[in-house]
Amino acid sequence: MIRATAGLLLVSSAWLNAEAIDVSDPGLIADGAKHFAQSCAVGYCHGSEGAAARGPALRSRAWDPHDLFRITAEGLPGTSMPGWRGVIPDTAIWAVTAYVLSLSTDPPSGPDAMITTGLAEEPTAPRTLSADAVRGRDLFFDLTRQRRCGVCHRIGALGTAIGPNLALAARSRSAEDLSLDILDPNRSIAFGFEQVELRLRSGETVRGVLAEETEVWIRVHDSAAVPPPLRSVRKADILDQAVVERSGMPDDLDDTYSPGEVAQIVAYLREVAGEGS
Amino acid sequence: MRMALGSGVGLRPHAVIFSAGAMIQKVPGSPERPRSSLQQSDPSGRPLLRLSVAMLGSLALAAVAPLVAAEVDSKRLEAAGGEPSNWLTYYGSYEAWRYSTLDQINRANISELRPVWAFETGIPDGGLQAAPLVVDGVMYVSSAWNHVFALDAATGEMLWRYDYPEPETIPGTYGTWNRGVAVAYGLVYMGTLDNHVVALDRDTGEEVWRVEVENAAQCGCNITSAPLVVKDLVITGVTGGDSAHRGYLNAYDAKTGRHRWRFWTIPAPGEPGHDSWEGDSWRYGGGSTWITGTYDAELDLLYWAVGNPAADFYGEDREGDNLYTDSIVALDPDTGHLRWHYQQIPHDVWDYDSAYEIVLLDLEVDGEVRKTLLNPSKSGYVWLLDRGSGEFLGAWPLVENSNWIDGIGPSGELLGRNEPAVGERTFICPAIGGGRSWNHGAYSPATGWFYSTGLEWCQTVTVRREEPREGMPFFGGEFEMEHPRSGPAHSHLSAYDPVTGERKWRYEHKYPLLASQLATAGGLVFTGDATGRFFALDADTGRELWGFRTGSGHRGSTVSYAIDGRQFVATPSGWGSALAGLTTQLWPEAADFPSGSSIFAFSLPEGSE
Repeated sequence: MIRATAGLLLVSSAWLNAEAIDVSDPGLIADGAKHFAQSCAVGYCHGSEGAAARGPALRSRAWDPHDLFRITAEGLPGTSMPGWRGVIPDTAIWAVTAYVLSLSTDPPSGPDAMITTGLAEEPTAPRTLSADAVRGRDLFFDLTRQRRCGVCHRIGALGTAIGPNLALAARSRSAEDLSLDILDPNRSIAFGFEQVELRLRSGETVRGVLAEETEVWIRVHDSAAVPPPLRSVRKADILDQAVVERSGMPDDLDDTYSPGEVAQIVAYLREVAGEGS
Repeated sequence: MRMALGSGVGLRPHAVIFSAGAMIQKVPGSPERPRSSLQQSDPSGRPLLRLSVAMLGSLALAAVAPLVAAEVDSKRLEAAGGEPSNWLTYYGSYEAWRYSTLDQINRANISELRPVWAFETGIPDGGLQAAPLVVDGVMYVSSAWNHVFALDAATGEMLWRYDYPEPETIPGTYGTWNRGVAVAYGLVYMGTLDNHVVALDRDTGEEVWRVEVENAAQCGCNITSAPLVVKDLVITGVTGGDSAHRGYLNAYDAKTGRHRWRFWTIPAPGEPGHDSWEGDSWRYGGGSTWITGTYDAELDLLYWAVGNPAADFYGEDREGDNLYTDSIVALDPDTGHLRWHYQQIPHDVWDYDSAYEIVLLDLEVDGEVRKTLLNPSKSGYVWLLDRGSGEFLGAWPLVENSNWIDGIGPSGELLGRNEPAVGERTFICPAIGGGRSWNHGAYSPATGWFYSTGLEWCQTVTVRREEPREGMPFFGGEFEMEHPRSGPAHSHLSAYDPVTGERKWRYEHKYPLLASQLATAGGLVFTGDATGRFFALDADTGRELWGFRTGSGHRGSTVSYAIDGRQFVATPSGWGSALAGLTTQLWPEAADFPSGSSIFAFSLPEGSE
């Protein structure tokens, strides 16, 4: 996904630095048409050339360019329309805007087609990771593995925040510490990620990281399975409970990742350290 | 089915509740409702004091329910067809017939059928596509955006509601609708629009467990279909077949949400079938499982139909058969291990998922009674397989406008494949919406016929090579809807011989019929249309006998049940879905078909016959 985004940046590079753009520019419209075909027409959404599908028809309508850009960038909360900001660059969103405007009843032309975009003069260059870190990131989030770091750890927009924020943790830990954290999770347990063990009246024992406690409920991420289900237990159903100094993380990840792979994951964490704080 | 009446778990013998002058025929095997004991009747039989479950609160329901009906467990689920008063599973039973043995409402009296109650979810975006479940007097229905409502099935009164928190990320490709819940072990199960499974307390609607299947922001996939409970497992499929994603089926411990197994629909390197994928294409090859499967308890086989390979239209980067896309897979339900598979369409380049319902039928084929399964496909063909072995027994078409192949040979081989050429515009029938949509057909053991819609529509496909972007749309082309060369696009509902596909009757409709069928022992077939008409046909002749406007188009699944001896037919009403939008390309006026999201329940008037 990240690689693909970098590719899109290249496609749209002609339009970088454009504080004002000409939405009638055939090159911009053609660029937008490519994005539209792959991400907006797509089967069940707006249809080929905006002919309508599940989403509304976009062709043969009248649009305000800034409204169109804003909706494309931010989405429409409460509907299936996602925001594309962060998925494709803002410059590409302007290209899509130009394309949809070209389908409208009265496409802007001449001076009306010059639109102030308000884009930053220079978009932030995509972060470059080392080859090891790229491999580590792929391992971290590799969906073809049912056991992977991303099941319980979130970095940036991906993964699930059940366990600690590793980008933050990696700031203050050496590469060796991080390797040991992965392979021997009970060696040190992040503050607030101890497990509670609940012995229930039903005879069941549930052990997991505490997610929430109210007057009535205790919710824990049950560490007996991957991914950990979020269990809601009524306090009235608990016989007794105790804090357990054991990590909720599987302690056999050496079966999942080879030493070389662990090193690559550590390289990734070191390079993204500090993000997401 | 009939012989099972009265013998099912939780059933009670007849109980007369409408006394003097009450003419409604008592439904055999109707269970006493929890609140019946709270009613008092005057001499005319009308309830004087009708304390609703809602008024008493869910605790009262919880306290009373165990006295009158056993908990829904695997035994009750396996015998669900013998409990006509309830609609216990998504398809009504594991056989997936969508058939009710109730006959109080029948050909002779259907003109008297009246709405009894309506319930509005208040969530019109995405329409209402669910099949409601009815368990011992309580209806459970899910709306778009994962709201769940428990209703008094006799009155429509809401007992509780559950509102899934609006997720941070919603995979836009597959919509926000939900097609139903499962009920067992005191819990209500639902898949979510951000790829979780939740389990709710059946009596209160409170969340008991929730588990993430896979991160929705990354996979771009989610769950819209109803889960299936088999033994002690809740099993769920996933969307994602039109994205760069590798599909799967997952089973969770029904009581705890702990993961038990995953079946990948695309084999990994080193596994049998992996060599049917070129290079790395298996990683992003689709193979979703987006419609609920079914289970044969006697053979102990779980059946699921697998969707199309991705990219949908561009196949040159995934040379090979692309197993197990467009296949029926039979799995060991305890382990998820593959027992057999049958691939209907090797190397699909038309987006013709095999995702639809799998109907279990014991049929005479070539003079021999076979345990078969019948599976209609998006391609507009219906496949018949031996459900013990996966042996091909036949295939027959639902639609006339079909040019993607010339036909299907005696061994199931596709003849004369018409593959759209890269970079060109190719006219293909049926359209991407399918020779039939996912909404389910019905089988009546009384007629021995399978009732299904057929959609006569076409498209122009433009195929384009695409690089996969994980979790992002991966169609490999575009399409525009077209009318068939033979005339205006339209649809039909027909009765078929399930073995030969011989058409017994045909009901024509101007717009695509996109709701499921319900067949009943009353000789009726119910369905609804895009304009909001709910109607019933004579199961023998296809003649229209009755209709009622519910106000919004039909995309869900009608069910039937009985309470205190009174048969109900309940239908979701609520236009708004992927195909609801697509229809506007061929029928511009469809853009004005109102959305909605309500349940309408119908019954005969008290005192009538």
